[in-house]
Amino acid sequence: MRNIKNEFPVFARKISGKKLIYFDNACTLLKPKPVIEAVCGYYKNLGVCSGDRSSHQLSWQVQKEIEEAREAVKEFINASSSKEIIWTRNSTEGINLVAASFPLEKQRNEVILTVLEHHSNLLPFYEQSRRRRFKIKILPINKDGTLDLGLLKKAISKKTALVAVSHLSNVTGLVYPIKEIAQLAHRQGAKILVDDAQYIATHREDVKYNQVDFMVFSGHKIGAPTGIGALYIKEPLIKKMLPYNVGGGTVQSVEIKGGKIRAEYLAHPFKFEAGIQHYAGIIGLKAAIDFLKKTGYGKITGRVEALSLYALGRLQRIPEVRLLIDYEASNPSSLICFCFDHKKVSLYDFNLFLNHGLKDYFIAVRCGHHCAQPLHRFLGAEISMRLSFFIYNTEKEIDIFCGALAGFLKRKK
Amino acid sequence: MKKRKESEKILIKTKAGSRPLTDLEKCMLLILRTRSDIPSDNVLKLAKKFKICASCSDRSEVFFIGEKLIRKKLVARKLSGREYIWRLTKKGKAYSKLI
Repeated sequence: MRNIKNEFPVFARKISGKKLIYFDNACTLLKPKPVIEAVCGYYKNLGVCSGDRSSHQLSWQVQKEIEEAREAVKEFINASSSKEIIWTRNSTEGINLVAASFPLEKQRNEVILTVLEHHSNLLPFYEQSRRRRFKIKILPINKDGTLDLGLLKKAISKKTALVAVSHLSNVTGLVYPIKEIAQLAHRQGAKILVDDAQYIATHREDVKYNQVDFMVFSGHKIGAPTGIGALYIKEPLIKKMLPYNVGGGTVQSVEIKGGKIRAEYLAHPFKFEAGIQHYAGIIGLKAAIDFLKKTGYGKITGRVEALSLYALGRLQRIPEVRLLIDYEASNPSSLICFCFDHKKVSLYDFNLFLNHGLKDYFIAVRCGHHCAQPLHRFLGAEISMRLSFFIYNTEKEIDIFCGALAGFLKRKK
Repeated sequence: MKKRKESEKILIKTKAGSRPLTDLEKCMLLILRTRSDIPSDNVLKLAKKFKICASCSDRSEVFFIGEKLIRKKLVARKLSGREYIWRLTKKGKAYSKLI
């Protein structure tokens, strides 16, 4: 792990003449060399359509790489078949697809969400509930950030079609018990959608073990390029999904007879993948998965959890800091959010200070509502500052951050 | 209302040529034209009063725009105690012909 930073070329550059400390991993992970090389390799050596569109040797090579990448995603999440993997732009697009296409029945027309959710796991259901006329139930969380499984058990009924929940919240930093939630949902005949956007960069997802029906993740959060993600839909459920994004590449045949269009769609996953795909992104995604595998998930999880715990201990010693949750029930697993108790001290100003006020370092963090406004309001904060970790971070960097914070708070007018 | 001539508007010079101000750039300048020498939190409070500022999805974006305008020498920022104070670099007519 000592030389892990060498694998990430961005660390070689100075930002405004200063050394970069990157604590914004929950937003997006920095890109390792193998990913950059894989993406450049596609543009340098291939740069063409896949063989399902074109018919020459170069395109067949692209098709081979795309299908190898699909196989890699299948293994990465332990799916049963690569046919269960659909390429998307990101987690948000995957959730939009599910919200628009999951099968509804007259007697089963409720979706259960929690206040924990990212806007991406709220708004697609909000919009589709108005179009498809299903009901939404939103569950609160406990004050310590955990989910009340008793409350969830009561909320799930024979009317529930789907429970959609984050595996790791991008605000609380807690991991939620997906397997238990899936079992509660399945007992009533409902399905579960897991938003793995935040979880999968630092923890191993196993869709079979967790009994997941739908799962989404974004490539950029695991070191892959932006604009590529994947949606997992368990077979045979995937067969019941309605077409969503349709067009070129999704049909077996299209006919116009008597002024009417008749379309025969391809089998899954292709019927969901309309238009040209992000080939470079898909190839980069495979390289990112290979990189995580090579580094070792055990090592990544252990290191990131240790860093989170270390940061928690350091932040708890600063009296002006208010952590959004108390972490008494469980520890943060990859990130921590905090705000200031003193209303006259602005997080935005401290963020500017991290950008401009330090002599030797430029510290990148996230300051804002992190696309989770309902959760912030629930936790009594409008915004927060988020520190999120990956294997290239160190305890020393956390010390530098806490030193900067203490120095900022001591400044006098 | 008298319509301003294109030549009177502030233009931002870029590598691709000069362009007019975006809504968010206008927003930041409008805020500071309303009240200059104010801390970041007051910038955000005032932002709520202008329709033009509504395209900002997260309020950090206001400061990102501020940084852009600093590079263009239209806005300045100074650290005073635990606050950053924002102000316009020019006064008077230079900003009245903006929008």
